[in-house]
Amino acid sequence: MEQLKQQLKVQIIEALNLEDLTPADIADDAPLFGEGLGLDSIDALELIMLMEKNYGIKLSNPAEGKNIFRSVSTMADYIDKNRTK
Amino acid sequence: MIRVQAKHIATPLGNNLAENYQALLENRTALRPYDGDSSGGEPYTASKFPCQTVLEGYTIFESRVIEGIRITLQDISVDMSSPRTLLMLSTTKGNISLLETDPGNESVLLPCAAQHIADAFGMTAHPLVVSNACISGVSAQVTAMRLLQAGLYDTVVIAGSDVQGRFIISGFQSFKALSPEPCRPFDAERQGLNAGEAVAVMVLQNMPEEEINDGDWVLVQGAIRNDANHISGPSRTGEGSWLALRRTLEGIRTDGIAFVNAHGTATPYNDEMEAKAITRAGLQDLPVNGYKGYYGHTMGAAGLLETILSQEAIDHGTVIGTHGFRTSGVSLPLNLSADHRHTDRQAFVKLISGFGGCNAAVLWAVKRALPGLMSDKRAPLYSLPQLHEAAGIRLTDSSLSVNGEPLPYVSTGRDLLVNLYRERVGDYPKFYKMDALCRLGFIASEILCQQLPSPADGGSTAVILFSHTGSLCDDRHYQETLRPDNYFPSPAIFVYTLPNIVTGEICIRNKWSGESSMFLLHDKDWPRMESIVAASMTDGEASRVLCGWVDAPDEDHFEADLKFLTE
Repeated sequence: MEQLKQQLKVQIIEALNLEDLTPADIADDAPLFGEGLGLDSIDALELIMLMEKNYGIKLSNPAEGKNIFRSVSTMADYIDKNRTK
Repeated sequence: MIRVQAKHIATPLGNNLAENYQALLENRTALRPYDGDSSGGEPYTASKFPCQTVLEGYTIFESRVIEGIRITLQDISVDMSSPRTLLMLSTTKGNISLLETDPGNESVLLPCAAQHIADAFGMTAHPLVVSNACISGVSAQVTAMRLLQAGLYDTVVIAGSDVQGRFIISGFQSFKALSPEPCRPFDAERQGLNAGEAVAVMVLQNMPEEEINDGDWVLVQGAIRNDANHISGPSRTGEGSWLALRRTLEGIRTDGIAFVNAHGTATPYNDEMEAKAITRAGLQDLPVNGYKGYYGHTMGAAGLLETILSQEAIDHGTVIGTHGFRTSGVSLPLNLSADHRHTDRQAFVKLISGFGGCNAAVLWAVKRALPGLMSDKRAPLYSLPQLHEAAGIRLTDSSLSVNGEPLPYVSTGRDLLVNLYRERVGDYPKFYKMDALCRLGFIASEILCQQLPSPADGGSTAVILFSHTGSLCDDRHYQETLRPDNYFPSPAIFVYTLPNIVTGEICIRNKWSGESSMFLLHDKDWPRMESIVAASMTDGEASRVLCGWVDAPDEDHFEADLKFLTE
């Protein structure tokens, strides 16, 4: 799980062009949206694409993303349970 | 006074205006199901032309537009070769499919496509491409009105179209914005939009009032405003749309208006936003309708197609019903109906919104209805204002100067912009998400704003930019995400494939809710750019405009040449 979280941080930084950040800057439980990293609706769509591309998870209803993308921990948890690759 | 000299539409529902109007009366829709992209896209619903007639030496897109203009000109006399006749092309992606089939072909650049079309009619004036995302068709009407009123041209031929291929379809799918079923504008069960194809052409001219027939259509007023909120999501308060409506309705008695033809894309956010804007403008009792349930979203053609259909409906005393609408799904009560209704009024408002936070509105009326429509008859401002340069910046991949004085910088190309961001801005991490064109426009505008004695405030600043290559650099990046062996269309890249997003980024950063416009030209032609900017200042709201050239053919090669002009 720790490894998945680390890997996820690297993938998030790359997919969302967070060039000024390193994985160490993202706490496992810090909110990704709103206050935390300040991500927006386009970033949420990009995270949906990230899960599809890297973990074979298809999320057809973007509204489901709200809970999944609360933090790196919640995202890793969801990926761990639902990944197909 | 600006009147319509000729108009024409062709869609999958009909080859001319009469056929299309009849189809709407019969409640027919052009929306059909299509299989998903063979590389892995979902199935979708769209309105597409069944067969493609391609003229020798032209692309499908160019052929459709040329054929549309040819038919429009059949019954009128226009000197197409006159330098005072302008072609204005309204499109979002033009020949974008060439990126896949013929990547080296320069026609993928919109100014080149426009020139081919202009050349087909022997035109001598350089064409102007309006590239304001989905509002382009209405932006073009507003711009044409101003250029004609300013006396810069005698006739403007506006042509709008887009071809719906995998580039646009996959992009909207990545945005989860497409409805798998025929769309349902303003309905409680709406799930998103459908893509559509159409060609729409309108010939506008400026004529003395007494020479215009009572039954002719005249363009009364129009405006463009930015939400200054988000590059893809519409304002939650309908800000820009309401501001555009407010300006368009200045001095107008709204009890003379037959209906508001909304954008009505059937995405949850757009329709809700329009309900707020319409209500804030006090138009909630007027009938509101939308045509996307018949045609889908025809992108560059939409503003023109829907304007022309609205004129035809009023000529027949009708308010067209909103196909797909059953039960209202917006939070404010609007006067919506799926059924066609009767009207005796002879004016309407066309409303539209697009990515980049842009919004536009126009008010059209039959000439004989004008006296009852105007509550306050002020003489419109026709003469071009004298503009003064308050500050200027030139930033290229290897140079930087402000007001003609060189400024220090380190590195070149892409790194130059990143370094300038770190040294001179630093507090706006969204910068890193931007494509090359937006990074360039953003950094140049930031440094320019730092030169101003007082910060420019919200409503009083307009952003009007020009480019040659537009979003081509990002278009190529996006095309890469569509490779058959690695098909993962990226929404964050797709959003920047609209050249006007840079105007939106600047408006958002500075909270400027004035006009925002993007035009594509062949060359950095300052006299021409300044005349278009001066004509836009007749809008009367902006006291200063950030304008000029932004061009980034790739990440390491770019030029921004921007000015702040004030009256």
